[in-house]
Amino acid sequence: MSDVAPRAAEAGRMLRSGAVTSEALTRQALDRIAERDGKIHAFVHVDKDGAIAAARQADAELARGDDRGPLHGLPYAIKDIYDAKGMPTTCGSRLRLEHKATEDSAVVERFREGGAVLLGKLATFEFALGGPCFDLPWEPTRNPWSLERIPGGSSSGSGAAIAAGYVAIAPGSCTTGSIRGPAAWCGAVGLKPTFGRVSRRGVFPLSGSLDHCGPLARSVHDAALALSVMAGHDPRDPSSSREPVADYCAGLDGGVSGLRIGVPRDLFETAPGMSGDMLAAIDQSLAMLTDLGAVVSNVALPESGQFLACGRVLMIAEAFATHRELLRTRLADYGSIAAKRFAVGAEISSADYLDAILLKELLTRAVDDALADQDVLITAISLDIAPKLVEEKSAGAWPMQASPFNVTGHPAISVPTGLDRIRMPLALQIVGRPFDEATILRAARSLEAANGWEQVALP
Amino acid sequence: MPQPDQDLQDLERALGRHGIVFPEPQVPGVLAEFRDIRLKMATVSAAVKAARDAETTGAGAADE
Repeated sequence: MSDVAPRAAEAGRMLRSGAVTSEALTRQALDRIAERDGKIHAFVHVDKDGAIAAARQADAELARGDDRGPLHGLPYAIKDIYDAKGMPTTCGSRLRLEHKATEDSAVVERFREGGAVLLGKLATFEFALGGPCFDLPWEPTRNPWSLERIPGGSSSGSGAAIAAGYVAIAPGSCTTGSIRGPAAWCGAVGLKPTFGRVSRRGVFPLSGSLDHCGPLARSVHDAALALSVMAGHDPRDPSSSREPVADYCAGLDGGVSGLRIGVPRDLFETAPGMSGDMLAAIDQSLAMLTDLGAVVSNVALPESGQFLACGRVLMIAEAFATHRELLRTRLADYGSIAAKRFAVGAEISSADYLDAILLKELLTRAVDDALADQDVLITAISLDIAPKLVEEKSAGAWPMQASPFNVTGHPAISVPTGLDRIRMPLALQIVGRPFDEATILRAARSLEAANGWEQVALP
Repeated sequence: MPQPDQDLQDLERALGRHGIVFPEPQVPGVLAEFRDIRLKMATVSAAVKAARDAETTGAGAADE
């Protein structure tokens, strides 16, 4: 079996010291994909020739001292709703089997300018919503920690590609939890940045008011490196922020002494489906952070049902606006899950939609208020380990609490806390103030270092 | 004689406005999704009403 891809930070050191070449890392990743992905189904498109050519170019550039940044020469892969010039963007749908992108999405453009090596496209739920689905041209993606379980979604392939050891960085997208969910269930780090922090240009929309782009990564440091390349204003994306980009790596090891952590315990402690193992993992993590000098206290947030309902109504109304014509003319080409979810948007009136917009503002204010006296919030992300892959039991029934911070736009990161007794990943979520990704990364890094996750071998 | 399901009639009316027609075997799944989104819409509506009522009460008290 080919080796696991090194963490991005480690690969960067190896590339610059001459210990390894980009071509060697790329061939290693391609070999591992060829060996394992027949059972995992993380990739929907592998661009072997393009990747090797890009790796050789990176090696030549690095050899002559032309260093394009922290991801130069690093193999990565990306969710198949991002355009990458010359590759298909299927969005996991039969409707787009013939598509070929004529331009890069903003994120692919930034990775390309930074010299990263694109291996190919990763599986997604159909149009980032309908899955896991059994009536599409692709097999549902499996969780490398247990092939009978799902990796989560909709960035299924991104989570699985990291857990399978193919890549250290795999950008995903997130409308109600599609970055942090798969990260939590696959033992990866998943960072949903602040709304507007990362350009969405060239990414197929699900819900304009909730969609976010961000990295899934092998470690907190790798997520910080990825965000440092992905973040920044894009004049071609109307929702892109002009807020200055911080140095996300500089303070990573600064520790949590004096950090004020608010815990909205009512949100998750008695939530239906909350497992004892997950609750214990959160409490143990809070104890570790307290030992490291953090100050933990309880805070109150509105009930989770309000966030969930608000996110769902906004998402389905906006998705219906995108899909209604195709639902009328090509319904049979949708998978069964996406079709029924999108179609019921026909019931949402403009008054219902405006109510959801107003509730979004109220909930955002409530989270802002909770963060007024806290530096970060810590809460659950998944309430239990990844469920088994069962036909017709799809995302709506999953024990996940990611959507609140898509609704409010606050930055949030999922970080592994360990393995449960059947060796499935456990995780929690750290939430920060708008555009303060640096603080949640620092808290996540402290937890990752304290809980020993770096020493856990991938499956 | 059993009454036609009101939710089903509402669903067919909503989809019909947009010319969307599901094959019969898929209708139960769509109906379940329809009932779920209606519950979510009701939750949103109740939360907004509560916020508006609280605001109105507060404004009234201030006016007085």
